[in-house]
Amino acid sequence: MFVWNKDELNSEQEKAIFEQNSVLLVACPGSGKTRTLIYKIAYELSRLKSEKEFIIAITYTNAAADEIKDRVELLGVDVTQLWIGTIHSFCLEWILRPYSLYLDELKNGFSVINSYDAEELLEKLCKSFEGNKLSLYDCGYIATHDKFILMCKDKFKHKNIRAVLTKYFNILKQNNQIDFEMILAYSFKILKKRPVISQILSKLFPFILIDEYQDTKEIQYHIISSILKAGNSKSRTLIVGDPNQAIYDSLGGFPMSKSDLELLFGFKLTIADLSKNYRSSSKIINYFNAYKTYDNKILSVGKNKDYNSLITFNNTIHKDNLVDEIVNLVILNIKDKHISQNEICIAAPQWYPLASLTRNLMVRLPECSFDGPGMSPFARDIDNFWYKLSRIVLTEPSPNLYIRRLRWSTEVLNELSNFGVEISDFTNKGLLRFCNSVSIDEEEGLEYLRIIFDKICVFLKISIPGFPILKEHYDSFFRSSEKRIEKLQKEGNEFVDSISNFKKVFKQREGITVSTIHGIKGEEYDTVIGFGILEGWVPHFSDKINGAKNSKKMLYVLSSRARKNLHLISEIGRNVNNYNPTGLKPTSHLLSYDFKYDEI
Amino acid sequence: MYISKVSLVNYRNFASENFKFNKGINTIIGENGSGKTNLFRAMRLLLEDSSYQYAYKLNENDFNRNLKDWRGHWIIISMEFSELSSDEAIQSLFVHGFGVIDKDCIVDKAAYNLFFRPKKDIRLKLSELKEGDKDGLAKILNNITIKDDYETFFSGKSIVDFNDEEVYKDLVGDFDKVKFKANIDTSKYGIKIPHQLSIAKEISFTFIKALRDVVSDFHNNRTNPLLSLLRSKSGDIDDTDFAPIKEIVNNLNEKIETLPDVHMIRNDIKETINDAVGETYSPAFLSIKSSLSNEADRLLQSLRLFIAEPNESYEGDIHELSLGGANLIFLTLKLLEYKYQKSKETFANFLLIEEPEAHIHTHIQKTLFENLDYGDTQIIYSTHSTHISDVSNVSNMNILGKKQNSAEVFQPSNGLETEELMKVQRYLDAVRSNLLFAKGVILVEGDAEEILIPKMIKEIFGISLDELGISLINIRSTGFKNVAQLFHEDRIRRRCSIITDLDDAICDVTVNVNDSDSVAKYKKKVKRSMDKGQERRIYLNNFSNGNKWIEIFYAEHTFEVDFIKAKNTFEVEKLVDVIYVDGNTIIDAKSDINSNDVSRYGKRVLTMANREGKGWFAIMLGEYISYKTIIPKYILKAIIFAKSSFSQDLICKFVEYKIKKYSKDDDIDFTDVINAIDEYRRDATKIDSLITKLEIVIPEDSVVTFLKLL
Repeated sequence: MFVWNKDELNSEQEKAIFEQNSVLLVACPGSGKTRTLIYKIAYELSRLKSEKEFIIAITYTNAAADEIKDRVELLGVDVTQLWIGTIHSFCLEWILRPYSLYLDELKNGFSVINSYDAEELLEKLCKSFEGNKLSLYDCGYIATHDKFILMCKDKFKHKNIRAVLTKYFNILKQNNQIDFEMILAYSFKILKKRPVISQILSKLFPFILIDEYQDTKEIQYHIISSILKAGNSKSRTLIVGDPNQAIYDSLGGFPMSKSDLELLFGFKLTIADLSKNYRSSSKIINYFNAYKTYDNKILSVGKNKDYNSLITFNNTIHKDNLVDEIVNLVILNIKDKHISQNEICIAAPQWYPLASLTRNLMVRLPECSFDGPGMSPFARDIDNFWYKLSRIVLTEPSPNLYIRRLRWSTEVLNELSNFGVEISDFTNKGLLRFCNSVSIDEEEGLEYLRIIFDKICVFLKISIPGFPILKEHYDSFFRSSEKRIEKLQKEGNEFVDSISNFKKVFKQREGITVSTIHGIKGEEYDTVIGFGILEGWVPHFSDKINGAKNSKKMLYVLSSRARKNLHLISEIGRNVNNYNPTGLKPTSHLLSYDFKYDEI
Repeated sequence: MYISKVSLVNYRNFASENFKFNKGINTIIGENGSGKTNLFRAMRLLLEDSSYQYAYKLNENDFNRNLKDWRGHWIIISMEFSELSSDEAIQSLFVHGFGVIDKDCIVDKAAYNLFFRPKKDIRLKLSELKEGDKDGLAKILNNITIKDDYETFFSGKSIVDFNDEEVYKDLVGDFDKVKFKANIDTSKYGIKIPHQLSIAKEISFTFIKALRDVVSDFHNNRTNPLLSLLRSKSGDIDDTDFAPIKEIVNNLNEKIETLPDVHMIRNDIKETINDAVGETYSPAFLSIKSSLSNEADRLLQSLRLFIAEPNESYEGDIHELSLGGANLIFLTLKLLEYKYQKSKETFANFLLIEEPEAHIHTHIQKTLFENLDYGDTQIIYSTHSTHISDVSNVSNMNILGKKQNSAEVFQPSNGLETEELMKVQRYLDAVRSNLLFAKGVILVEGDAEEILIPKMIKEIFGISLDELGISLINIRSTGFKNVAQLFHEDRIRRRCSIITDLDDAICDVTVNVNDSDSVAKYKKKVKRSMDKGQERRIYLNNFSNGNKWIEIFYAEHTFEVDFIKAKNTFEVEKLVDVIYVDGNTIIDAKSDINSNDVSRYGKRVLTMANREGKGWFAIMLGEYISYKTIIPKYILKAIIFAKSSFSQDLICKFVEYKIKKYSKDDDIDFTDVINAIDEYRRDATKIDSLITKLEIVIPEDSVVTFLKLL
């Protein structure tokens, strides 16, 4: 049995771990949620009675899965019976790959189109579409347990979107491809068609953990519930998250209520809380409390509890002077408040202002480094095989990374085997050793990758053209990277194509983080500087139904990232036009919030 | 759960065959070289942990030789399991990987396959060929090598019969029409096995190979079954239990090292080095250490088994045991190893035993296999021993037959009703026979046939029935049908000749008014036999109708009568002197036999046979069978049917044997025949000209009749 020292967890955390029933755990920001999950996983792993059972942990991102797996391993627990990953990888691995034979649509084999190719295809179809102008962003759709729903809020476009999507689906069908949403839809279809599969899986999974449940979609709840329900209350679950941080409403994510969950699962859930915030000062906590949409208790207990936080709000600065203002704030934090640059984050609700901001800041603050968007020369497309491989070849061998790189190597081999490549002659260690041994004298990043990929293919005896899916990923990887580099270079990042820049992608992040609000979910910094908090961005102008609620959640997430200082900016002069001569206004919640901000 | 079927396609000496198994004990019977080991090897590739590596090392020699060219073809090894359950947690991972979900959403069967096939890029290229593009096909195939272009692939959940030719064409491709598919319909042919699944963790599987030299296996660390038992247990030894032993070993090592003599040797070595190379180049330190291991697993390996033979008190090492004794111990240890394995978290247990007759003495075998029953274990053993095959149940039996480059598999009980099955089983239980091994079978009903047919063949053709691969079986009063039903398209696909008497009357059976009582009685008796013979003919003809593996050959009257009718008066006449003492009777008898009147010689020979008993009569008659004896035509036909084909070489041998025999006794010029044989051998002439030449010199001989019948 896995045990730990008394001071490693607090009583709330222990209670959640020891609870023998299924639990719905609401964790406030900074409450040590991940830590609790890790111990819970280790505890459940040690309780397994059979070698044939698996603990399943569903995370929102692959990065989170990686981190949790690493940390469970560091506790000294054998993780062979832990399966952790996103819902999409779960469905692929446990439902689609083993059971696709039971669906006529998939029985002749299938492959998953990577997101870049899917977007490119949709874009092309939109362009070729006559009549109303459509863009890729109109074409979002989500699967529910019984149908596909269009995400576009503009109902007038729906007819045309349907026409585009019909073509899109047909093309995928011709190529035996499915996209990400279809992974979920087909998985659920299989479970519905052959209920015995849920039964089989429930026997394999005595415990299923779902992280970030507030971002979970309806169909995902249905998939998980089919399995849990089939277990006849022998399969237990831990559902963790924070309804206050449900910022993926636009993608269909929502925190299902306890009673709805119980109805779906067919068994009772014990509710538990993690209410102790170890992260932020009480002043910060007090501030973001106002943005709650779900009422839970939050106590400040961390070492920053009594920190005299600066919380500022600027709604007078013009967008053209935004850089000056942010530079001032950064200098203030570094010089006066002695905050390390690694602990500063600058966030906005949208991507597009971030790239130019980062470049400007780099010029203005030469003593700082920046980890910003658009600096990466290739897309982080975790589902692209060559991206997976590039993780190994672009990182240096080191004891710290050994376990992780070995896992990546295993993943690469597993993926090859999924593609039908015979890999029995190779081991994860062998592949890693080979990757480490290759040395290439090439400065240009993409060329470097082409050469090393070639060498690895020779080593693994693969001919890329022989495997259409590898070829498809290969072309997509390089095409999207070339486009990206070209764009970045046009914007003035001359050396973005150098191999040293390529290698930075996987290095420990350093410097000031520049990101979207969605991108820093789960992260924490001493100082958070948020800008672009404008009505129309927060909430998004298309979000007419839940806008008020969603903007609160965005503010909640943004504010609760900060340990010490929080600076909010609603700059003026954005989107000025004839209809709107003053441009976008600050988000209404900010205006209506009667808070005594600090003056600087 | 148990293995219900194993299908092999293109694997070694199996072109396309399947084996069917039941719960409990199963037997695979086959002569040496028929493929028993290959079957087990195939099963091990799928089930045995230590054999997986070989699954990835298949090569062109593993393809069946009947394939003219292996390139592009697949080897398929497919296993079907029955009686699964989706309710049992312990089976769930197995079901997840292999379980077949049927239309009613029930999992009862599982399928597990190995495909050795061209890699995907080759398959893709093949699928892009235009239908009928033979040149294109040849181009692709010619460049294929095993090393670069073949892969081993494991799939589960298939539902097809891989032995079906159409299935093979659909899956692998149609080489004649050049039609290949790019994608595989996984709903039929199964889907890749999840990588979480390791079959070795799911089931326990032990293979006990046929051993001929057990003692050397005991001496080899890798194959010594005692060591592997000890190894498997050494991990379980409690540390506190072992601590005192460890200390003793450490002490012991120390004590050995400090022995004065050891010390002395150390010093002497040191000194000698010093003397030889000088201080500068000598090692700085030198010591002699005792290295008796203090590790549990190493120490346990120094344990040895000492055994006393039954009824002896001396406990000896394995090599001192008799071979049989050592074999028995070996088998026991392997069975124990299996029992240990079985106690792991597995839900199905399989024990494969190769030729147990190689391990143990026959009389122990029978006891062993009647007692060897581990309840939930499926045991499959292979044998060429009739002793074991007698013990085993005919419904749990697969028979392996040898063919050119390939094997045939028969399930002798396939499709038989319980009652019929019981009759066959009872017959096999009662009679030790090589019925199941034969290439062809002749069934007879009487002692005379059983004794005389082999004798005649040997004398007349110079070769025994065994050498011809024909088993002659006397079914006595069992009834032909009970045994003959084994030979059928669905069961043993071997030819079976049935030889029986038609009992046609040898005299006029109309009773006349002036017939004496005894004559009338005799006539009635003959009539009764005749009627019975007719009935039998209708019955047997009905039975064999539509079964190409059975044919019935009738003696017009009875064997003894037809024997004389075939112009073998000489042999019977000789017997008259032995059987009768009275001079007049002898004269009468001889006159009867030479009468050429069937009512006379028929009655006479039957009287003689009945007087001596038909068996004894046959034995006596056997004394006078010579190469000149003439085999009744119906018997020749029965032999030809059972044997099915005679090679050129065999035919020449018959004729040459005849020449040799005749040349000794008679002054016959065989020159033309010898030339004819030579030409026939060289394929210069057809067999007809040989027959013509032979007929000129020995027209009456059975060989001529035989050749004409071919």
